[in-house]
Amino acid sequence: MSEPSNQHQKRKFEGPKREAIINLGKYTDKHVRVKLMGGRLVVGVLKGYDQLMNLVLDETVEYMRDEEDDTVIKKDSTRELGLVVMRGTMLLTLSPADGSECIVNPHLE
Amino acid sequence: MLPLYLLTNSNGQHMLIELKNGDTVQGQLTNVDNWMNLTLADVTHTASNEVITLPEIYVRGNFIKYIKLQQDVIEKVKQSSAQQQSQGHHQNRDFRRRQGGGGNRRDNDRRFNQGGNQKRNEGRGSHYNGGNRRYNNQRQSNDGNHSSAMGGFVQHHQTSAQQPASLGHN
Repeated sequence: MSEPSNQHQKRKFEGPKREAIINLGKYTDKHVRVKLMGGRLVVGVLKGYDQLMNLVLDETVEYMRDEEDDTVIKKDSTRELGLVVMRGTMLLTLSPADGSECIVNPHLE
Repeated sequence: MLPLYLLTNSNGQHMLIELKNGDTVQGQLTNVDNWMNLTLADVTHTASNEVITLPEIYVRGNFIKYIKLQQDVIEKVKQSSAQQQSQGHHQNRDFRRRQGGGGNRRDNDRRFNQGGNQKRNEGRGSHYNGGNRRYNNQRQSNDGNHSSAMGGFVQHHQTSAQQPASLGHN
Protein backbone atom coordinates (compact mmCIF):
# COMPACT_ATOMS: atom_id res chain seq x y z
CA MET A 1 0.00 0.00 0.00
CA SER A 2 2.68 2.47 0.99
CA GLU A 3 4.84 1.71 -2.05
CA PRO A 4 2.48 3.01 -4.73
CA SER A 5 1.63 6.18 -2.77
CA ASN A 6 5.33 6.81 -2.33
CA GLN A 7 5.91 6.43 -6.00
CA HIS A 8 2.97 8.67 -6.73
CA GLN A 9 4.40 11.38 -4.54
CA LYS A 10 7.78 11.02 -6.09
CA ARG A 11 6.22 11.59 -9.46
CA LYS A 12 4.18 14.48 -8.16
CA PHE A 13 6.99 16.08 -6.25
CA GLU A 14 9.97 16.94 -8.33
CA GLY A 15 12.42 19.73 -8.98
CA PRO A 16 12.63 21.81 -12.12
CA LYS A 17 13.79 20.17 -15.31
CA ARG A 18 16.81 20.76 -17.48
CA GLU A 19 15.67 18.95 -20.58
CA ALA A 20 13.23 20.26 -23.17
CA ILE A 21 9.72 20.62 -21.82
CA ILE A 22 7.96 20.69 -25.17
CA ASN A 23 8.20 18.08 -27.87
CA LEU A 24 8.33 20.02 -31.12
CA GLY A 25 8.26 16.77 -33.05
CA LYS A 26 4.49 16.80 -32.97
CA TYR A 27 4.48 20.16 -34.78
CA THR A 28 6.77 19.24 -37.67
CA ASP A 29 5.15 20.10 -41.02
CA LYS A 30 2.41 21.93 -39.13
CA HIS A 31 1.80 25.64 -38.94
CA VAL A 32 3.16 27.25 -35.81
CA ARG A 33 2.66 30.76 -34.55
CA VAL A 34 5.81 32.29 -33.11
CA LYS A 35 6.15 35.59 -31.29
CA LEU A 36 9.61 37.06 -31.36
CA MET A 37 11.50 39.48 -29.21
CA GLY A 38 10.79 42.97 -30.45
CA GLY A 39 7.14 42.21 -31.10
CA ARG A 40 7.12 40.45 -34.46
CA LEU A 41 4.61 37.70 -35.08
CA VAL A 42 5.35 35.03 -37.68
CA VAL A 43 3.48 31.96 -38.77
CA GLY A 44 5.23 29.20 -40.67
CA VAL A 45 5.45 25.49 -41.28
CA LEU A 46 7.88 23.93 -38.82
CA LYS A 47 10.54 22.04 -40.76
CA GLY A 48 13.14 21.57 -38.06
CA TYR A 49 14.23 22.49 -34.58
CA ASP A 50 16.98 21.84 -32.07
CA GLN A 51 17.61 21.76 -28.34
CA LEU A 52 18.04 25.55 -28.19
CA MET A 53 14.65 26.04 -29.87
CA ASN A 54 16.23 27.36 -33.05
CA LEU A 55 13.58 26.72 -35.66
CA VAL A 56 13.45 26.17 -39.38
CA LEU A 57 10.21 27.58 -40.72
CA ASP A 58 8.97 27.30 -44.27
CA GLU A 59 6.32 29.39 -46.07
CA THR A 60 6.78 31.88 -43.30
CA VAL A 61 4.49 34.86 -43.12
CA GLU A 62 5.09 37.84 -40.89
CA TYR A 63 2.10 39.79 -39.67
CA MET A 64 2.78 43.49 -39.94
CA ARG A 65 2.12 45.91 -37.13
CA ASP A 66 0.35 49.21 -36.98
CA GLU A 67 2.66 52.11 -37.85
CA GLU A 68 1.47 54.29 -34.98
CA ASP A 69 1.20 51.60 -32.32
CA ASP A 70 3.56 48.70 -32.95
CA THR A 71 1.97 46.55 -30.27
CA VAL A 72 -1.10 46.23 -32.49
CA ILE A 73 -0.79 43.46 -35.05
CA LYS A 74 -2.78 43.91 -38.22
CA LYS A 75 -4.56 40.77 -39.32
CA ASP A 76 -4.79 41.69 -42.99
CA SER A 77 -1.31 43.02 -43.68
CA THR A 78 1.40 40.40 -44.06
CA ARG A 79 4.70 39.91 -45.80
CA GLU A 80 6.22 36.72 -47.08
CA LEU A 81 9.50 35.59 -45.57
CA GLY A 82 9.65 32.12 -47.08
CA LEU A 83 12.19 29.72 -45.62
CA VAL A 84 13.80 31.09 -42.47
CA VAL A 85 15.88 30.00 -39.53
CA MET A 86 14.59 31.49 -36.30
CA ARG A 87 17.12 31.90 -33.56
CA GLY A 88 15.96 30.24 -30.35
CA THR A 89 17.06 33.10 -28.14
CA MET A 90 14.66 35.45 -29.93
CA LEU A 91 11.67 33.18 -29.51
CA LEU A 92 9.17 34.32 -26.89
CA THR A 93 6.12 32.18 -27.37
CA LEU A 94 5.36 29.28 -29.63
CA SER A 95 1.96 27.79 -30.24
CA PRO A 96 0.28 25.70 -32.90
CA ALA A 97 -1.62 27.77 -35.45
CA ASP A 98 -4.07 24.96 -36.14
CA GLY A 99 -6.78 24.75 -33.54
CA SER A 100 -6.35 28.35 -32.52
CA GLU A 101 -9.23 30.73 -32.90
CA CYS A 102 -9.97 34.36 -32.28
CA ILE A 103 -12.57 34.96 -29.61
CA VAL A 104 -14.17 38.12 -28.33
CA ASN A 105 -12.27 39.62 -25.44
CA PRO A 106 -13.91 38.14 -22.35
CA HIS A 107 -12.58 40.97 -20.21
CA LEU A 108 -14.60 43.56 -22.14
CA GLU A 109 -17.95 41.89 -21.52
CA MET B 1 9.13 27.89 -0.70
CA LEU B 2 11.26 28.45 -3.78
CA PRO B 3 9.48 29.92 -6.81
CA LEU B 4 10.51 27.23 -9.27
CA TYR B 5 9.72 24.59 -6.70
CA LEU B 6 6.22 25.99 -6.29
CA LEU B 7 5.74 26.12 -10.04
CA THR B 8 7.01 22.64 -10.80
CA ASN B 9 4.72 21.26 -8.17
CA SER B 10 1.64 23.12 -9.34
CA ASN B 11 1.37 21.33 -12.67
CA GLY B 12 -2.21 21.09 -13.85
CA GLN B 13 -3.21 24.29 -12.08
CA HIS B 14 -4.93 27.11 -13.89
CA MET B 15 -2.88 30.29 -13.91
CA LEU B 16 -2.50 33.66 -15.54
CA ILE B 17 0.86 34.77 -16.87
CA GLU B 18 1.63 38.32 -17.80
CA LEU B 19 4.44 38.72 -20.28
CA LYS B 20 6.87 41.58 -20.47
CA ASN B 21 5.05 43.02 -23.48
CA GLY B 22 1.81 43.21 -21.52
CA ASP B 23 0.16 40.19 -23.16
CA THR B 24 -1.47 37.76 -20.82
CA VAL B 25 -1.64 34.00 -21.16
CA GLN B 26 -4.17 31.99 -19.19
CA GLY B 27 -4.13 28.24 -19.08
CA GLN B 28 -3.34 25.02 -17.32
CA LEU B 29 0.30 24.55 -16.50
CA THR B 30 1.65 21.38 -18.07
CA ASN B 31 5.41 21.71 -17.71
CA VAL B 32 8.14 23.89 -16.23
CA ASP B 33 11.90 23.80 -16.55
CA ASN B 34 14.89 25.30 -14.79
CA TRP B 35 14.62 28.55 -16.74
CA MET B 36 10.92 28.98 -15.92
CA ASN B 37 10.04 28.21 -19.53
CA LEU B 38 6.47 27.00 -19.36
CA THR B 39 4.07 24.99 -21.41
CA LEU B 40 0.38 25.56 -20.89
CA ALA B 41 -2.67 23.75 -22.18
CA ASP B 42 -6.15 25.14 -23.00
CA VAL B 43 -4.76 28.61 -23.39
CA THR B 44 -6.36 31.99 -23.79
CA HIS B 45 -3.77 34.42 -25.12
CA THR B 46 -4.78 38.04 -24.73
CA ALA B 47 -2.75 40.49 -26.78
CA SER B 48 -3.42 44.22 -26.86
CA ASN B 49 -5.92 44.00 -29.70
CA GLU B 50 -6.97 40.37 -29.93
CA VAL B 51 -7.84 37.35 -27.88
CA ILE B 52 -6.96 33.90 -29.14
CA THR B 53 -7.61 30.46 -27.76
CA LEU B 54 -4.92 27.85 -28.31
CA PRO B 55 -4.63 24.16 -27.46
CA GLU B 56 -1.06 24.64 -26.21
CA ILE B 57 1.59 27.28 -25.82
CA TYR B 58 5.28 27.42 -24.96
CA VAL B 59 6.40 30.56 -23.15
CA ARG B 60 10.02 31.54 -22.63
CA GLY B 61 10.71 32.06 -18.92
CA ASN B 62 12.84 35.07 -19.71
CA PHE B 63 9.79 36.89 -21.04
CA ILE B 64 7.50 36.39 -18.04
CA LYS B 65 6.68 39.42 -15.94
CA TYR B 66 4.65 37.59 -13.33
CA ILE B 67 2.44 34.58 -12.81
CA LYS B 68 -0.85 34.76 -10.99
CA LEU B 69 -1.50 31.45 -9.29
CA GLN B 70 -4.62 30.32 -7.57
CA GLN B 71 -4.84 31.17 -3.92
CA ASP B 72 -4.76 27.63 -2.57
CA VAL B 73 -1.80 26.39 -4.61
CA ILE B 74 0.82 27.24 -2.03
CA GLU B 75 -1.19 25.47 0.67
CA LYS B 76 -1.47 22.35 -1.44
CA VAL B 77 2.24 22.32 -2.24
CA LYS B 78 3.15 22.97 1.37
CA GLN B 79 0.89 20.16 2.51
CA SER B 80 2.32 17.65 0.10
CA SER B 81 5.87 18.75 0.86
CA ALA B 82 5.13 18.33 4.58
CA GLN B 83 3.83 14.85 3.85
CA GLN B 84 6.98 14.24 1.91
CA GLN B 85 9.15 15.39 4.78
CA SER B 86 7.30 13.24 7.27
CA GLN B 87 7.96 10.31 4.98
CA GLY B 88 11.65 11.11 4.93
CA HIS B 89 13.85 13.79 3.46
CA HIS B 90 14.98 11.71 0.55
CA GLN B 91 13.03 13.53 -2.13
CA ASN B 92 13.85 16.92 -0.71
CA ARG B 93 17.51 16.16 -0.84
CA ASP B 94 17.04 14.98 -4.35
CA PHE B 95 15.47 18.31 -5.22
CA ARG B 96 18.24 20.33 -3.61
CA ARG B 97 20.82 18.32 -5.43
CA ARG B 98 18.99 18.97 -8.67
CA GLN B 99 18.80 22.63 -7.84
CA GLY B 100 22.46 22.85 -7.09
CA GLY B 101 23.71 21.39 -10.26
CA GLY B 102 20.59 21.06 -12.28
CA GLY B 103 18.42 18.17 -13.16
CA ASN B 104 19.15 14.73 -14.33
CA ARG B 105 22.58 15.62 -15.53
CA ARG B 106 23.66 16.04 -11.95
CA ASP B 107 22.04 12.74 -11.11
CA ASN B 108 23.89 11.13 -13.92
CA ASP B 109 27.07 12.78 -12.79
CA ARG B 110 26.53 11.43 -9.35
CA ARG B 111 25.77 8.01 -10.66
CA PHE B 112 28.78 8.24 -12.87
CA ASN B 113 30.89 9.31 -9.95
CA GLN B 114 29.56 6.49 -7.88
CA GLY B 115 30.41 4.20 -10.71
CA GLY B 116 33.75 5.88 -10.93
CA ASN B 117 34.34 5.39 -7.25
CA GLN B 118 33.41 1.78 -7.49
CA LYS B 119 35.65 1.39 -10.44
CA ARG B 120 38.36 3.29 -8.69
CA ASN B 121 37.95 1.08 -5.65
CA GLU B 122 37.97 -1.99 -7.79
CA GLY B 123 40.92 -0.60 -9.59
CA ARG B 124 42.69 0.12 -6.36
CA GLY B 125 41.85 -3.34 -5.10
CA SER B 126 42.99 -5.03 -8.22
CA HIS B 127 46.08 -2.89 -8.31
CA TYR B 128 46.75 -3.79 -4.71
CA ASN B 129 46.17 -7.44 -5.40
CA GLY B 130 48.24 -7.19 -8.47
CA GLY B 131 50.95 -5.66 -6.41
CA ASN B 132 50.60 -8.44 -3.92
CA ARG B 133 50.68 -11.00 -6.57
CA ARG B 134 53.71 -9.46 -8.12
CA TYR B 135 55.18 -9.18 -4.69
CA ASN B 136 54.38 -12.79 -3.91
CA ASN B 137 55.64 -13.90 -7.25
CA GLN B 138 58.83 -12.09 -6.59
CA ARG B 139 58.93 -13.69 -3.19
CA GLN B 140 58.24 -17.09 -4.60
CA SER B 141 60.80 -16.65 -7.30
CA ASN B 142 63.16 -15.34 -4.70
CA ASP B 143 62.23 -18.31 -2.53
CA GLY B 144 63.05 -20.63 -5.33
CA ASN B 145 66.30 -18.86 -5.94
CA HIS B 146 67.49 -18.14 -2.45
CA SER B 147 65.00 -19.43 0.13
CA SER B 148 65.98 -16.51 2.34
CA ALA B 149 64.20 -13.78 4.37
CA MET B 150 61.49 -13.41 1.71
CA GLY B 151 60.29 -16.90 2.30
CA GLY B 152 60.33 -16.14 5.97
CA PHE B 153 57.83 -13.34 5.40
CA VAL B 154 55.40 -15.61 3.64
CA GLN B 155 55.82 -18.25 6.29
CA HIS B 156 55.20 -15.66 8.94
CA HIS B 157 51.91 -14.84 7.25
CA GLN B 158 50.91 -18.43 7.17
CA THR B 159 51.82 -19.04 10.76
CA SER B 160 50.05 -15.90 11.91
CA ALA B 161 46.96 -17.10 10.08
CA GLN B 162 47.25 -20.48 11.62
CA GLN B 163 48.05 -19.34 15.09
CA PRO B 164 44.54 -18.21 16.12
CA ALA B 165 43.13 -21.45 14.83
CA SER B 166 45.57 -23.43 16.91
CA LEU B 167 44.78 -21.17 19.84
CA GLY B 168 41.13 -21.90 19.32
CA HIS B 169 41.86 -25.59 19.36
CA ASN B 170 43.77 -25.25 22.58
